[in-house]
Amino acid sequence: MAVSGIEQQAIQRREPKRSSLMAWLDTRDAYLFLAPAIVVLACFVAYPFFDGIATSLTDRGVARPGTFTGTANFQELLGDEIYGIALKNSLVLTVCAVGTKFVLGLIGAVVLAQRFPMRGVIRALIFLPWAVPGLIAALSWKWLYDELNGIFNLALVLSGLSSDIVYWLSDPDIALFSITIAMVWHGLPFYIMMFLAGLAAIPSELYEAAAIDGANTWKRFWKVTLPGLKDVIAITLMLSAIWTFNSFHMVFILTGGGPANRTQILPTLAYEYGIRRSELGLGAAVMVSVIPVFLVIIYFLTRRMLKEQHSA
Amino acid sequence: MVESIQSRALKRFLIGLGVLFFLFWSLFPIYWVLVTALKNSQEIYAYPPTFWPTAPTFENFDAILFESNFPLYIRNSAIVAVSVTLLSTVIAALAAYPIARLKFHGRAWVARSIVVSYLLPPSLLFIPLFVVLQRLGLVDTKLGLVLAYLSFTVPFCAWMLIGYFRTIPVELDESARIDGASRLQTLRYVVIPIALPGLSVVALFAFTHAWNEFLYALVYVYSNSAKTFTAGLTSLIMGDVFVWGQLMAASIIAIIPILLIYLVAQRYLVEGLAAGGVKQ
Repeated sequence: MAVSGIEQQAIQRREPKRSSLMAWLDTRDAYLFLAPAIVVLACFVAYPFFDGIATSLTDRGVARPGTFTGTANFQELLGDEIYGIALKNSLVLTVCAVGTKFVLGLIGAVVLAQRFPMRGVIRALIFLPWAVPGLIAALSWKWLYDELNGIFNLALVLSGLSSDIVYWLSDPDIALFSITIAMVWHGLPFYIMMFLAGLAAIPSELYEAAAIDGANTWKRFWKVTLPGLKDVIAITLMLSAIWTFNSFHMVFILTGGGPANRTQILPTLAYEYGIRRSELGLGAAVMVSVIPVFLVIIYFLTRRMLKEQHSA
Repeated sequence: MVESIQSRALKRFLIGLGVLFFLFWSLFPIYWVLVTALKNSQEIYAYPPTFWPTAPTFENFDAILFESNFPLYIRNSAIVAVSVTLLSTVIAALAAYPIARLKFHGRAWVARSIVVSYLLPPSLLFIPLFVVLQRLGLVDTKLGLVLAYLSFTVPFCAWMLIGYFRTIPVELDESARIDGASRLQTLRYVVIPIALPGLSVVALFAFTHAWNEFLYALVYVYSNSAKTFTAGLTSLIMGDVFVWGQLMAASIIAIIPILLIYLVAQRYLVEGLAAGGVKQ
């Protein structure tokens, strides 16, 4: 068993009177070790984070330094119909993709936790999409969805289900759904892996006790499995919500935000305004506008992750 | 409680059905990419489609390997990913050690900053990071891309390594210290050798992240000397014409390094992922 953070602190506290010199030496050593990481985090995370907020208050362009314009960018976004569509799409996509991954992930983990032949190999194969680079996952699905030669349309026609071609990516009513499916494909293995790890941590005695009490499979799932997975589920959903909301490549490759901006999401809109149109200030404002939501999620997630690691 | 034979058979049937469903769901798209890459252009667009190429051909691979810039992009990807891996592993190990081992002022604060940095999404940072790289004169360079990737890999690797280092008995450090080893020597000769499995997993994650990353590559590099394969592939499709056979062949080639890593270390990667909550 590992020495937990708390035990370790207890060990250190038991040490006979740590002199203040020792404490000072420890602090000095610690920051010497931390220095390179602190430089990286300060220059490439903290500074850009705050600079991004500052940029969103200017009319900065790629080749133009920009002047302070106050909340002009945000007012422009508020009156911008496309921003409204993108915000709504981002939320719909996140809720639908996260929800589907959660349900399928739970089912997948429960199934893969059972005993069956070649379990290790089969698990590895099912996790395979996770190893596929996001861009390539997006390209693959673009090909599957191809209107004339994509396998989905060919299957529809061949099976006689429909003789009409479905415009998976260019029909505005369907495109967001198609994107969701592709995102679920790429993201599902992560859920299954997390939930499998969570399942393995539930003591089997709990199941035995429930069985003795006469609980059937369904009841055991609700009374033992789900409560046992509570922490893993919370962490997985929060992590995945952040990543899914910010996922850029799927929409960018599959639809490019089209047709007519109908599948635009906030990250692709930020790219469109900030990079394509060279309006860095406006582009930054698109993402800055949702920072408060992230900070709330990140706050709770950080607390949980620090707690988990201390008790690990 | 004894389960009846019927309900047992039903359970088996359901498990089998579930396994088959998830296998098909995960593998069919990958299979289809592979099959497409091995078809000639007539067969790719043939109706009805063939589920195995009637005349398997490497012409798509030939075209992408010998008649395009793709090998150059792969080379750039390799340089960037290896640099990111080495730098982030070293920086993260140095950072994780004091957090796991020392009591010092600001420890909790540093640990929290690392987690928060890891959680801040790239889509939030890509525009201001572009400005930073612009100021440093590093837009459109491999170095710029490496630095941008460190913003994610360093906090992530450090976070994972804190966990690994905690599993190593602190008595080992203490005896090394009593024998007169400096802290750096203790880390180098006592902790690192024991943490090697964890360290390799962290290195593989850093490599995978840098190899797979798309958004920063798309925005920060655009000349052939700096473009990684993810940015390079988009330039292959930015026109209206999608050369699907070649694109799929390029995809297969680009997946190979990750697939090798995955095949060798799948078990450890999954364990590490469960421990750290890794980026998809």
